This record gives sequence, structure tokens and C-alpha cells, in this order.
Amino acid sequence: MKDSTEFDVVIVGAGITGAIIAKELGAKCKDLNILMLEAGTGSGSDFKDYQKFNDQYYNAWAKTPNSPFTNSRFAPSPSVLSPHNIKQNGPLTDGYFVQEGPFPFLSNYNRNVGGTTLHWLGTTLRMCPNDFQLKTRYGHGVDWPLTYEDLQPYYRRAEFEIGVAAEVDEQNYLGIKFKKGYVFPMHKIPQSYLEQQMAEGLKGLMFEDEGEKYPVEVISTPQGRNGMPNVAYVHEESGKLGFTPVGAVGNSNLGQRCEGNANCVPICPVQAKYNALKTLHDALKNPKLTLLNQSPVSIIEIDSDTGQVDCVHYKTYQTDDNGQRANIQSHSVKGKIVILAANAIENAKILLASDACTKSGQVGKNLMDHLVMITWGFFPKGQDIGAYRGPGSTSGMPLMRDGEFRKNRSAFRVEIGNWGWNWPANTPESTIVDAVDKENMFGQELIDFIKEQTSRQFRIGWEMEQLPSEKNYISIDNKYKDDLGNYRPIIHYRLNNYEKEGALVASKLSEAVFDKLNIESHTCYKDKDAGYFEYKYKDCEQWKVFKSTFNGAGHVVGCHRMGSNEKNSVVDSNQRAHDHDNLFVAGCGSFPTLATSNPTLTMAALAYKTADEIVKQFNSKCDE
Amino acid sequence: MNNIMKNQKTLAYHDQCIIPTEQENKELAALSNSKMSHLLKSCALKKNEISLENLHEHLRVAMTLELSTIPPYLCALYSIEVGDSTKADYQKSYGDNAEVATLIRSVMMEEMLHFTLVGNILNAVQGEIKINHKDFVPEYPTVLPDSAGQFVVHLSKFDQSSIKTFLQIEQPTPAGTEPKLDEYETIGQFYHAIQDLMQALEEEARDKGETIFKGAKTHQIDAKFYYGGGGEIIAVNNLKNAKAAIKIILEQGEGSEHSIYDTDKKDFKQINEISHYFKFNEIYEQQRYASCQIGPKVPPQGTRMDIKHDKVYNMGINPKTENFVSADLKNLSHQFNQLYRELLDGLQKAFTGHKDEFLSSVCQMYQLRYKAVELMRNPILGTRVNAGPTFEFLSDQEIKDME
Repeated sequence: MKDSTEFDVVIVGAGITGAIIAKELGAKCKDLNILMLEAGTGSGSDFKDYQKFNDQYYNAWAKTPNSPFTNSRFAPSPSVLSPHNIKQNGPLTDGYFVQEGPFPFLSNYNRNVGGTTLHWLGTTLRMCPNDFQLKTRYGHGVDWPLTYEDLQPYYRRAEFEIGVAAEVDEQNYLGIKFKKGYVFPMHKIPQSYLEQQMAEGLKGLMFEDEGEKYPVEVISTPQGRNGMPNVAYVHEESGKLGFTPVGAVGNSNLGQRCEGNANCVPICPVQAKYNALKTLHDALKNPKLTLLNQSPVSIIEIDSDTGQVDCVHYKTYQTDDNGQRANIQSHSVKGKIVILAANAIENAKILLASDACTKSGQVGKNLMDHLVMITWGFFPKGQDIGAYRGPGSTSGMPLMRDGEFRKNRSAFRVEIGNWGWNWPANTPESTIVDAVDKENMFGQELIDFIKEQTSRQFRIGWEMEQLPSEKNYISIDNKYKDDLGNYRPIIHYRLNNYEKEGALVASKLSEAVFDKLNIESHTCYKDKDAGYFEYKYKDCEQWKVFKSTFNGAGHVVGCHRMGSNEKNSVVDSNQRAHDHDNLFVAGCGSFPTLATSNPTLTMAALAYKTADEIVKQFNSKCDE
Repeated sequence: MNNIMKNQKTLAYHDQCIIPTEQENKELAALSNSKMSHLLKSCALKKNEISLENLHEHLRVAMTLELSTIPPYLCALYSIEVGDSTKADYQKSYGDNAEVATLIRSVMMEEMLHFTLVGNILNAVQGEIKINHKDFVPEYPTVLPDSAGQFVVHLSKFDQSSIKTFLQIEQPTPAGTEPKLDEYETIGQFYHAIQDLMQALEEEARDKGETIFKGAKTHQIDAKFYYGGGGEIIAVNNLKNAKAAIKIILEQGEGSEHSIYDTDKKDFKQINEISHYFKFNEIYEQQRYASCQIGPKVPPQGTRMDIKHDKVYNMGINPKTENFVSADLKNLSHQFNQLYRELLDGLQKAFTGHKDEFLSSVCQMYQLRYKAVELMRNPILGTRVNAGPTFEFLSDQEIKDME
């Protein structure tokens, strides 16, 4: 390609946001020349790529979320193995992030074609209506510049694209409403045996907090995972009845149903779980869309006269077989419209490096993640809960997602895990290692022991909503660059008492649940854990210390918040930059607050809103 | 059928795979007493008998026909080693084997769809489903009808001759194939006869203000329950959608006589896909069609395909449990057949009103695969070949004896 070629649209990042926008533009503005730049590897349409991910996963010694996916030193992805407990102030610099602390940022994302949807769990909860008005309702954070009602039609489109499996009559809680007669594309994924047992065992349990009583109920979680299509589903735009699950990219007969491989994170071996490659595969049928991989964007150049983005600078890298020698080249392209659709941290990094969107002073600020506290234990002897079967989680307890308590402490979502102690203790592998190594077991005794232990292992996750804060932010520095000369994100991150107070309440609810189900707790937090924290609180006029550990949820949110004007925010409700009218900055980074839902569905809904806005702009030139 | 043409090389290219060799004709003759031959013959004898019972019997045989193709595809599929694509010598050792496996799998899923579609028709006309019935479970080697006549189908590992069989299975049905008077020689004739029977019976019923499509709606397998790909399932409740179902069975995945590309994918935005028959031909010739090729009457002329026939488990042809010599292998084979029987039982239930059985069938199919591969990895003592799945039908008594 010639340098400084002009495209109608340049999209930075081939994850779910970029893929949805590209697909929409291709379908509704057929004449647009669209370029998509992706930092990492992959093609978006080749089944062989995905098989290689599977093989890389089988071979990986540590099965971390990014282990199946190619990692290049020229566009590195963060790893969950990098963060440590930051004892003294002073940055942690191993890995891709530079962590200034004082608390480590514990989440990661994936920089490859398909983005982090390659390793997401697939949870697709809508946000609660009150989540959009945290400031007005509860006096914290900010309000969104749009409401649940505004976003509802976009939620429906996102639920079609991702292929969400759920039942409306189970999801209409806490004010979440659906259009009359709406059904999800697919019926809910069957809840695991464990969750059925929990639902039964918890019947009648009430949890008291701040004088209010809440029933503790187990409710199925909507998921972007292929299940049984709902024959009553009506497609919004075409009116077509029914839904056809989308199988694996390049091998559509594979993965049309979840097979219960119990491996959703880091990789669904059959692609029954949605990933953005599916949307991209459709988008790429448009011959006017060009996808370039291994092309990380360094900066966008702003024309000082017009205030518009003039061109996008990126570098390409081609490595030899052993990855040692590389051919690196610099390029630039022009775009009538430029969309930054990378991860929140990457978007912020590009804006900071480009000195763009400076008026609000909000670029890079308000980094958020769900802070996950895990509790775990054994179900009573003889009660086989069928651990390690099915998707990672198929149910939760939504009782603490919204309520007056949000004035005083964070809301949280409760996620019931189906894979034993895999997250907190790396079971079942560690169960076997311990039995052989420490107990000298072998033969039938070993088999019986493993069966007995693993079948009762239970864990549950408590995911705190983190408030937006100016103290949690991304910066860049010439000292820290990757091998291509692009900035590495420097992360400044700390916890608020709001979230610690939330965790304290969660620990009490956890105790109530464990008691009711006779679960013997094995929860154990160590002060060397990366996310270890202590919280001093007053209980009956007595000072006490609550000790726990937070984990990252992989929900990287904030850094270019949306809002009503250029002084309080980076983008408007269409994700268009206030400061540069041909620039969109899209993705989870636009969320003003985090809420308690996993962010992907809302991010996808926002992508449709952005796509509509761009279609409208090109409308005069489009053949509708 | 055509004994004059003894030398395949004198045939037009596109007929070479289809017209049987002399050897194949001998095998065919030897199988004239096989279960499938009997089923087809007994159906053909009653071809002119316009009765609901006769339609039911035809449809049951059709289910057996569709089921017959699945074990051979499974054997070929599971025998292919696909390797570890992260290894440096992957391409050199395993070549394009993974691509071959993917293709076989997707074609096999179409056969599963066909099986389900016929089941839906049979249920729609209130016929008795007999999936786990000894008379309707295929035995190997078997014969199958295709558009040129009958051919022999073996349970075999993936090799050139199994691909040739697949070419015969997927061979296009020429338009306007008429049913013959005495015998069904082609699959098209067979299904056309079913269609005629349905038509006649339905017209007869309509004259009395009735219909033959009175089967319980609850027994129809719809998109909610039909697992996986292979195309769109049709729930059948009248003549029109019963005919639509048959149309899918006869046309799906087959190329036309005029183009190597799939004809049913008309969406102009979609990249043209080569139909299954011609994809199998690519594998057979170990060469891809060039992008400029359209017509089916010349061999592929594109890039070479790299198929590693040494990376295939050396399963012996048409294995039988009794020939497995060692007790361990025999035991393993029994376990496989027990699972196969359970799967057939599950399908029987699923087609008779217990659709939830489809859910557990998924697990059973995985278990079948693990056992099949285990068999294929093991050599049979005193022979040069490995064991393999035998797909023998175990009677209730035999299962009891094993316990």
C-alpha cells in the first residue's frame, strides 16, 4: 500500500467494537473504503489460526487467559503473571505494564485479531437502569449521558450479533425491562448441577444489610454461547423468525452448540462461545474492507487548523521464523473518519501519545476494573456437586447489584463458579500434585482421593464495582517503550474504601451462603498475594481489620469517559470525541462508571450506536 | 453395470470415479444378499403398492440409508492424525491433513441432517421409528445406491479408496431421474418413489377431506433440538415441507453437472464455495481447483495439496470384533459397540417424543470418538493392521451377557 492513502474510515483495533462497526458500515454504506489496523496477529477468517491457538494452549505450561494466543514483543499483551504485590512505591516494570501502584492493576487484555473476546467468559448481562445514574441516585461517580431506555434497542442488536442465550422472565429484575414480546436469540444455557443444588439449598435464605432484607436467589446468567435457538425469536431489522447459531469461523459446522468442554477461558475449543472473529468474518465479506494485522498505531496526527484528525501513523513488523530478526516499517494513512476501537488502555495511550482530546483533562483517567474477591470451600462429604463440568459460570446472585446501599459502599455481582478451585488454587492439577507429592498416594487410592476431593470443590466470586477516580490513571513516559518504540502504559492505581466496604459486606454474605449450604471454608488470603489488602473498619465502636485479596476481572473500563460536554468528558454519547469531530474513541473506555455487569454487551451496544452515527454522517453519499 | 468399459482410463474424466471397476463389480455381486440390498429390493417390489404402511417402510429404509454413510465417514475422520500445529515440522509432517478432516466432518454432519429430516417425515406420517432395531442398523461392507447404480461401502481408514467411496456418496443426482420399474438403482429414484407415494396417499386422503400428515407436532425435531450444522432442519407437517425436506437431502452439498461451485449458496456477497463432491475430488487428486476453473469435466489444475497418508491410523478394512485376537481388544470393541447401541437407543427415544435425549447423545458421541481412536491406535496381533470401530449391533441379550 502507498503511504498516506486516504480511506473513508480507519478503524484501529480488530476486537468486537471494531468488528461491529466495520460490519455495520459495510452493510449500510456499501461504497466506503474501510481500513482496519490491528496491532497483533491473526487474519479473522482462517480456521487454521484458531486451531493453532488450541495447540498453543495445550502446550502452554501455565494456562493463563492469554496463553493460547500469539504474543509478540512488538505488540505485547499484558499477562496476569506479571503483577506482584507492590510493597514499596516504585514501579513494577516486568511484563508489558509499568505499574506505579500503590495497588497493582490485576487485569489483562488480548492484542490480536478478535481482541479479548478470544478469552472472555461470554457473560452478557445488561446494565441496570440505575447504573446509568449513579451520581443522581446515590451521589457517587457521574451519570451517563444516556439512559437504559436509550440503549435498549442497541442492546437487542448486540444480543443478536453475539447470540445471547437467556430467558427474559429470569432477567427482568432490578428494573431491567425488555421490549414487549422480546425473547433472546437462544434459550438459556442449562444451569449446572451445582447451581441447581445451590438454588435448592439456599431456598428461604434472607440476607440483612443496613436494615434491609434481601432474598438470596440463584439466577441464570445470560451468555454469548451457542445453545438451543429460540424458535420464537424475531430479528429486529428483517423480521425473520428463529435464530441460527453461528459456528466456528471457517468451519461453520463446528461449535453450533456448547459441548460443555469446560474450557471457555482461555479458549473455547470449538468456538461455541462468541468471539469477535465471527463478526469480523462477516465484515470481511465486504471487499472494500482491508484488514492489516501486525500494524500497531503509534499516534494520530491532529491538524491544528481544523482540529480534525489528519492521519494515522502506524508501524508494521514482519519477523522471521524464530522471531529474532524483524523488518519494521513506518506508514501513515488518512481517514475521513478515524475510530480508535482498541482496548481502553490502548486507546488512552494513543490519545496521550498524540496529545489529542486534551480539553477535558480526562484522557487516561478513571481506569476501572471489577475487583473480584473469591471465597472457596468443600461441600459436605458425600455431596458430589459435579465440579469442573460445563461453562465457567452459568448462574449468579444478582441481589447486590443495585440498592440504596450504593450510597455507602459498592454494589457487587455474585458469580458462581463451576470449575472447582481452579481460579484460587489451580485445581484440579494442584490436587493431583499435592496428593502424589505430599501424601505419596498412587493407584486406586489416588484415583478415589482425586474423585472425592474434586467433586466437592466449590468457589464463588464477589465482583465489586469500582468507582471512577482521577487517582486511577494511565500515563506515558519516554523511559518505557516497547520494542517497536511505542509507549508502554504506566498504570497508577489504588483502592477506595467504597470498594473495600463492599468486600466486607460480600464476605458476610459469603459466610451466610457457606453456612446455609454447610460448606467448609478453605478460603485463605496471603499477604504476598498480588491483590492483598487490609481494611480498618469500625464495628460496634470497635476497630477491626478486614483482610482479603482482590483479583482482576479482565474488565478494563474507563480512560476516555463519555459525557455531556467537552469539559467533563472525552467523548459524547455516540463516542465521538468532543475535541475532534472526525474522531471516535470507542469501547469500554467510554464507560463513565463501571456498574456490576460484565462490560462486553454494553460495549457492543455502544458500537452499534456509533455505527449508526457514522452511517448517518455518510448518509448523503450512501446508497441506502 | 457397464462391463464393456473395463479400462477406467478410457472414460471421460468426470466418470472415472463413478463407473465401477471390474473388481468393484465383483464385490457388488458378492453383496447382493446384504441387508441393504434386501431392504432396497423389498421396497422396490412394493413400489406400486400405494399404502401408508409401504410409505413407512420406505422411510425407515431411507433412515437406514442415511445412517449407513455415517460410520464410514467417522472411520475416515478419526483415522486422520492432525498433529500439533505449534511444532516447527508440523507442515512437513502433517501437511493438509487437518483440512481433510474438517471437510469429512462437515459432510458427515449433512448426513446427520438428512437422517433427521427423514425421521421428521416418518413421524409426520405417523410411521413407527425403528432406529435401534436389528433390521435397520447397517452392516459393513454394505451397498448403497447412487446416481449411477449401486456401489460398495466399507468401514475403512482414510485412504484413496475411501475418498473414492465418498465421491460416489456425494455424486450429483442428475435432474429428471425417473424411478425404474423393477429396482431402485439410484438414491434419486428411491427418494422420488417416496415422494410419489406421499403425493398419491395425500391426494387420496384429501379426497376424503383428510391428510396423512397427522403425526404429533411434539415429535418433530426442530431447530431448537437439532444439534449442529449441516444445514437447516425442517419440521414437517404437510406435503409441501415434506417435499422441501427431500429436496435438501437430494441436492445438498452436491455440485451440479455444470459447475464445481455450490449452487445453493446464491448470496452474491458470499465467496463461492466449492461443493463437497469437488472438494473430495481435490483430495483424491491431491490438487486444488484453480480459481479460474468452473467446469467439472477436467481435473483440478491449481496448487498441489499435501496429504500425508502415513499420518493415518492403519485401521484394517471392515473390522469385526471376533477377529481382534486379544481379549483386551475384544473387550474394548464391545465397549464401543455398547456405546453405539446406547446412542441408537437415545436417538430412538429422541425421535419418539423425548427430544431431551439429544442432549445426552452429545456426550455419547464424544465417548464413541475416544473409544474409536483407542481401537485404531492398537495393532491386532499377528496382522499388519490396527483395530477399529466395528459398528456391530448388540442385541439386548448380548448386552446382558456382557454385564
